[in-house]
Amino acid sequence: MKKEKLADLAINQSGFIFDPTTGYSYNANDTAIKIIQQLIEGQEIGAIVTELTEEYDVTTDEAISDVEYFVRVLENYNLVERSNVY
Amino acid sequence: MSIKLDHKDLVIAVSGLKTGDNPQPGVPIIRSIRNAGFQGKIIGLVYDNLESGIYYPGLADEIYQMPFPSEGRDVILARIDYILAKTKIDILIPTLDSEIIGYIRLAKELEQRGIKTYLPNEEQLLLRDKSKLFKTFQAKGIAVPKTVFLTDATDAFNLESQVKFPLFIKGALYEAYRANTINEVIGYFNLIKSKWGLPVLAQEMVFGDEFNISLVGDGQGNILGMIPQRKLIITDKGKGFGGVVVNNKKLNEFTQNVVSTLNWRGPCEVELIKDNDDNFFLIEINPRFPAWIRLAEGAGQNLPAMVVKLALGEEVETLTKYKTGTMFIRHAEDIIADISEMGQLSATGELIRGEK
Repeated sequence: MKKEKLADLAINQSGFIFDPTTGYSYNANDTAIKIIQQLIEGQEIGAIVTELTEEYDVTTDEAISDVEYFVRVLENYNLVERSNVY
Repeated sequence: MSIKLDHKDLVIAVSGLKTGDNPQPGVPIIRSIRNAGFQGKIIGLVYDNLESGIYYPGLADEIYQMPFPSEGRDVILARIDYILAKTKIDILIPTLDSEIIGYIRLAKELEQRGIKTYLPNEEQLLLRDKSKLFKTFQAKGIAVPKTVFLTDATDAFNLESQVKFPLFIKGALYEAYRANTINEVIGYFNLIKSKWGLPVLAQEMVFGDEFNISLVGDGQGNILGMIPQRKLIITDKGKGFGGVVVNNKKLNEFTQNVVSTLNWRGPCEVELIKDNDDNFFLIEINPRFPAWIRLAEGAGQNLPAMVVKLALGEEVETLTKYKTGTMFIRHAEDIIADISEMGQLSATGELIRGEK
């Protein structure tokens, strides 16, 4: 997954995200911000899923589904690029 | 690095003081110059007694009505000589598309009168003319939406085989309308022709985000300072009433290519569109600062102050840094003034406020 663009984002702790290369801005909740930060740090999606199942009362399948959906949202905004799906 | 203007006895003349729904750049240029610490005299050159900046408190020390550019160089020069009998002018910053070429052609006469400008030469100006944009830049590998000239309303019937609809129908200097059909093309052709003359341009529409870049070129292909912004609010007249400063490598390179192609000297505004595949297209180059130029000052590059120093022949440092995420939103406000000010301007063609 190409995720270099995520490192350019200006992320405010209140959940406001600004992309300085496009001028677009987004709002995200705490979990979304945490996932973005984990992706920036280079964590694999599997590790992010594991952390979510430890922190929240969700099954692995639910966590995979949610992370997958969120990465697709990021793809849709051209913030990450994938050649194949998780 | 902020630019300071500590010249106390300098007189700077600026045109285009209208604000409102189709604002001119004079007011924000003067405000940026003042904000650089300028203590000298500002002269406003106006074409209309109702240009709102005339009445903006603390903006211009003196106002002079000017003849329209179409009245010719002798009339304009005679008016400048009249003004010079009342006050010196050290620097002149023209801000309207229609007057730039006249002042470029008067460069020698202005210089003889001690008036300095920082403008492109005539060749640079004409290469970026809307009617030449496609030819000038397409050959240099800079993408421009396909453009066709219309000199007669019946040309509209040949458009479908040459360009894709919808189109923008544009005047050579001002105005642009979106046309979805041949009938709309004919309507807008006649409207623009009657106001601005020929040629009228039909330009393919590119769908995507609009970016505007305000910059100052050194005349040798280099950019001395530049602020790119993405339009956030666009009015029904296509004017950007809000925007945010961005930093995009591809956009920066594209803009540098444009400036290098022209060897642009002086201020300008480059208008680009980025399509959904991340390709940039050059839409227009306006040969002057835009009305949103205070955003440059806000983002850390006071480009009007830079132009003052360049006009004086002073060294300036190339500005490369600016604060992304700086945004502007245009705000309409009522100015309160006494009608006697307008009366004086109407009766005498000038308005002098106190001594400086």
